[in-house]
Amino acid sequence: MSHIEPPRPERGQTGAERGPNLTSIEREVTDARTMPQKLLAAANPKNYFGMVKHYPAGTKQFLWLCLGILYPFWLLGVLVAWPVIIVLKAVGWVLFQIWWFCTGWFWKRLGGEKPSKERRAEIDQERAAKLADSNAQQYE
Amino acid sequence: MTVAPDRPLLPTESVTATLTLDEALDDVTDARIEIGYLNTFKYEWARNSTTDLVGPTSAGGRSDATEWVGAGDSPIVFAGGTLAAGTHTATVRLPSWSPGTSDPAVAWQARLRVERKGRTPEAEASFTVVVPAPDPLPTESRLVQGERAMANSIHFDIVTDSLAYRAGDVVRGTISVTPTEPVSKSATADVRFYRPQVSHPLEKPPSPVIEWFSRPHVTVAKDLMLAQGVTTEIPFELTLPADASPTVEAVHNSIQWWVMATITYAGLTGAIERARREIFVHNA
Repeated sequence: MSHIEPPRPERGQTGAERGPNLTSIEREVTDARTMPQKLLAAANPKNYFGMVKHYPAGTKQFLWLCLGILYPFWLLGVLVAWPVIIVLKAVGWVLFQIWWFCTGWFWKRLGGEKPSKERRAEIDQERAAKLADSNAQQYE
Repeated sequence: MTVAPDRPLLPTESVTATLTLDEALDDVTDARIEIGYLNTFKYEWARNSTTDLVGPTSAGGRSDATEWVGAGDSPIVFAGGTLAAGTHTATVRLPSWSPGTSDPAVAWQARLRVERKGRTPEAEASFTVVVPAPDPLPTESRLVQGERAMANSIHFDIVTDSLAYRAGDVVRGTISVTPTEPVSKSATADVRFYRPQVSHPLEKPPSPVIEWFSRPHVTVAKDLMLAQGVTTEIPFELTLPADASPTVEAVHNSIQWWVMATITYAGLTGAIERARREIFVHNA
């Protein structure tokens, strides 16, 4: 005998089955490569207010209020961050150039690998001779 | 409100609920007896699954939630919009898909549902649904190993004499271990039950798996010298608790049972290797 029974209710999904929950605009931020793109995305109100989107109703609205009060200062911070990042990047570039120059300098003189004992003794001798030479020149 | 028969019920059996009203209710448009279960599950209060680099983060931790899942109803016969004082009965059949009572996930109830103008009275009665042995018996189950990156030097196989057990039964089987790397330390083999509570809510953010291990674990071999490429077979025996919450899949969470085998190498720096085989636990 067959019975009419209510259909089995659908079960929900686990965290792994749901996967990461990214909005299209957040996807744009993660894909952004250049610095101005990232800063513009940080200033975008959708992203800024979206940072609390996973909080439950009520709490989220309260956090939106707080974030709304802070938004002008956040924009100011983004504006200040722009030149600061440019300066930091420039300093980093200069440090890299110095380091890269030193690397090449040592590479050229040391033959690209750790010198053998004989070669090290040779280098030491050359250096001592050079030093003695310059000393002799100084006292002339 | 009372429920008959007053014994654990099987899915597809019928429940007769008897309701006793002290005074008549008027302006009633609909009156029903509804059966269903209270599904208690863990969820994460504020789960942020935006980041896919470090995995989901949570600002608020986990909480318990209880949701009602309806499984059928039956109307109470009344006339003239008035539900008379006295006793009313209604019989509802448990659907074949009914998940059994399983603490803490599933608790069955019969409830009165009245639609009327004004205050609606509340009445409920609890009953128990048992999980019968699966028919047909399962022939395959999941074997999970190599979940850890740092302790993944043994290939396991766990074979049990059956894949479905009644609560209180003895689970007998064999663990086969084959190290894939050279072994220099002696090892201890342990078995225990692993009962995860998997959260998969419909609306709320899911929590990570809530783990439970049977205690104390059973040590099945001591001072075991394993060798690379050599398979060692270790028989084991584990007794399921008589009041074990059976395997169920409810709407918002599931309860699963696994036999977990661990190989612990001696010493402070000895790795703990583990693998698990899923079993089905029923109580009827």
